[in-house]
Amino acid sequence: MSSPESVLSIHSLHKNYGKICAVDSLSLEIKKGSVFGLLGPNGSGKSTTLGMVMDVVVPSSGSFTWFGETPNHQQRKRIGAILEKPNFYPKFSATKNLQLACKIKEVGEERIAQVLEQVGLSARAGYSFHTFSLGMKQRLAIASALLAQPEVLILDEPTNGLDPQGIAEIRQLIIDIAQSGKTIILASHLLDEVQKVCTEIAVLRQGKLIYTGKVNEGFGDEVMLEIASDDITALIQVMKVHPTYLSHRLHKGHIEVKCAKGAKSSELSKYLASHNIFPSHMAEHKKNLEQQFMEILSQNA
Amino acid sequence: MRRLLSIEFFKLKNSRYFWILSGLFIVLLMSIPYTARVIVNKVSQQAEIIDALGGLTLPFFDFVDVWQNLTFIFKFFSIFLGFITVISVSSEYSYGMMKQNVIDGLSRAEFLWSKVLMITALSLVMTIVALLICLYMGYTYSPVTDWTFVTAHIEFIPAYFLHLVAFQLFCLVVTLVIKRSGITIAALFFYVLMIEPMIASYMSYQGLALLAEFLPVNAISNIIRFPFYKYAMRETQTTIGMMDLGILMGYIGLLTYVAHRILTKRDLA
Repeated sequence: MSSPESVLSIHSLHKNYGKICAVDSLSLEIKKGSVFGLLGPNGSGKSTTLGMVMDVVVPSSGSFTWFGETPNHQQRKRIGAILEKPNFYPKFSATKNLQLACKIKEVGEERIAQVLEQVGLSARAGYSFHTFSLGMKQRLAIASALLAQPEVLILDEPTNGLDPQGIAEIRQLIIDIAQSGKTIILASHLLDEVQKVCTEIAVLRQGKLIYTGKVNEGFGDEVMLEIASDDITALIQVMKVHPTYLSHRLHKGHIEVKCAKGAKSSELSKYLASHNIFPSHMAEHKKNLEQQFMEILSQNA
Repeated sequence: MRRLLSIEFFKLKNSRYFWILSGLFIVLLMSIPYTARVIVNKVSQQAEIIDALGGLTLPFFDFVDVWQNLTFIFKFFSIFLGFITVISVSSEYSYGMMKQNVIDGLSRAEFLWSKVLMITALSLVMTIVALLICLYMGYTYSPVTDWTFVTAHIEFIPAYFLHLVAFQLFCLVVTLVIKRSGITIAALFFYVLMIEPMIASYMSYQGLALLAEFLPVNAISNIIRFPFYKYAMRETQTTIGMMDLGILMGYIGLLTYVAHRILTKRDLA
C-alpha cells in the first residue's frame, strides 16, 4: 500500500488506442514535496498518463491512487492541472473564466484577484481570453490551477510554443511555486527545462518507463573530460592506462574521455605531466541531462 | 444540484447565442396565436365544411381545444430550443471545456447532470410561457371561462414539458455523438424533416405503423397528437395516450442512460 507521504501512486497503468499501446504497464510513485519531471520524446505517453490520472482518458487497465485513496472528483479540486493547452471560453473575460473555475472547485471568488496578481495578469482581468497572447493564456491557466491553493500542480509542456521571454517567465513561476512547498508534476520533452526545475525524473519511451531517479544523482556517475594536447596519440596511450579510464572518443584536435566516478582534472593533469604530456586544454564537464537522456533512449531502443 | 445548475447557468447567461435563441423561441411561441388567428379566420370564411355548419367560427382558441391546438403547433419550434443544447454541448467540445471542467474537479456524471438540469429548467420556463399564452388566448376567445372547463385537458401543458425535455435530451445525445455544432444542426434538420418521416412512411406502407411509433422523433412528438381532424368531423385523439406517454418516458430514460454511458466510458478528447 502507498505511504501517507505518497501523492500519486500508479500501478501498472495501461492504455491502448486500437492496436497502439500508448502507455504500457506504467508504475510510478510520486512523493509529497517533490518536483517530478516526466520526460520523454513526443508521443511517449506522458500526456496520456496525465490524462488518465485526471480522469480525462479512460485507462485500459491498471489503477492509481491520489493521496493514498481511490481516485474521485473531490480530490481533483486539490490538484491544479494544465494538460496540453490552456482551455478557457474564448469570449469570457479572464475574470469570468476564473469565476467559473471557482464555482467548479467550490472556492471563494476572492482568490481571483490574488492569483491574477501572482501571474501578473491583474491589468488584463477584464479582457476576453481570445485577445490574450499565448504566454498570457498559459499564465491564466496557471492562475486557474492555483485558485484552490492545490497541494499538487500538474503541468504538461508548460512552455510549449512560447517565446524566450515567455519561457523564462513561466519557468520562474514554476520555480517560485515549487519553493512554496507544493508537489509539482512536470511533463516535458525539453530536458533542459526538467533539469532546471525538477528534483526527480521518470523517463518514458513508447509508453514504457525506462528510467526513474533523482536528477542530481544523474544516470551514472562518470566524469567527462575534454583534453587537448600536441601529441594526441601519446595522450591516448597514457590515458588508457589510468585506473579511472573507461573509454574515449577522438575529436578534431582533442579527445573526450569518459572516466569512472571520482576522477578529478587536477589529479589527472598531474598524472599526465608525470608522463611528460602537458595538455593545452583540459575541461571537466558533468554530462548534462540531454546526453544522459539520449543515452538512455538509445540503450533501450 | 443548485451548484450544478448555477455552473451551467453561468455558462449560458454569458453566451450571446443563449439569449438570442431563447428570445427567438419565445417570440415564435407568441407569434403562433396571431398567425393561427389569421389562418383560422380565413379557413372559417372559406371552408365548405364550415359553410355546411352555417358559417360558424372554428373553436380553435376555445378552452378545452386551445391546450392541444397550441401545444401541438408549438412543437414545430422545439428544434430552436434544441439548438441551445446543441451549441452548449458542442462548444464544450470545441473549446476543450468538457475536459477542463473534469480536470478542475467536476465529475463526468456531474457534467451530465448540469446539462440535464439546465434542459429541465429551460423546458420548465418555456412551458410556463406556453401556459400563459394558452391562458391568454383562451380567456380572450373562449365563450366559456368556467374554471373546470378551463382546466379540462390542461394535461397537454405537462405533456408539452415532457416533449421539450425529451427533444433536448435527444439533441444532447446526437451532439455527444457528432460533437460539431454545424454538422449536428444539419444532421438534426435532415433527420427530423426527412429521414425519419421517410422511414415512418415506409414502415406504415409495410404495415408496420405500430413500429413507426417507436422512432425517436415520433415518440417524442406523439405525446401531443394531431388535433385538427376533429374540425373535419373525423376521429381525433384529444387526450394523452397512455402508450404514447409510456414510450416517451421510456425515451427520456433511454436517452439519459445513453448520454451517461457516452460521458463516463469515453475519453474526453
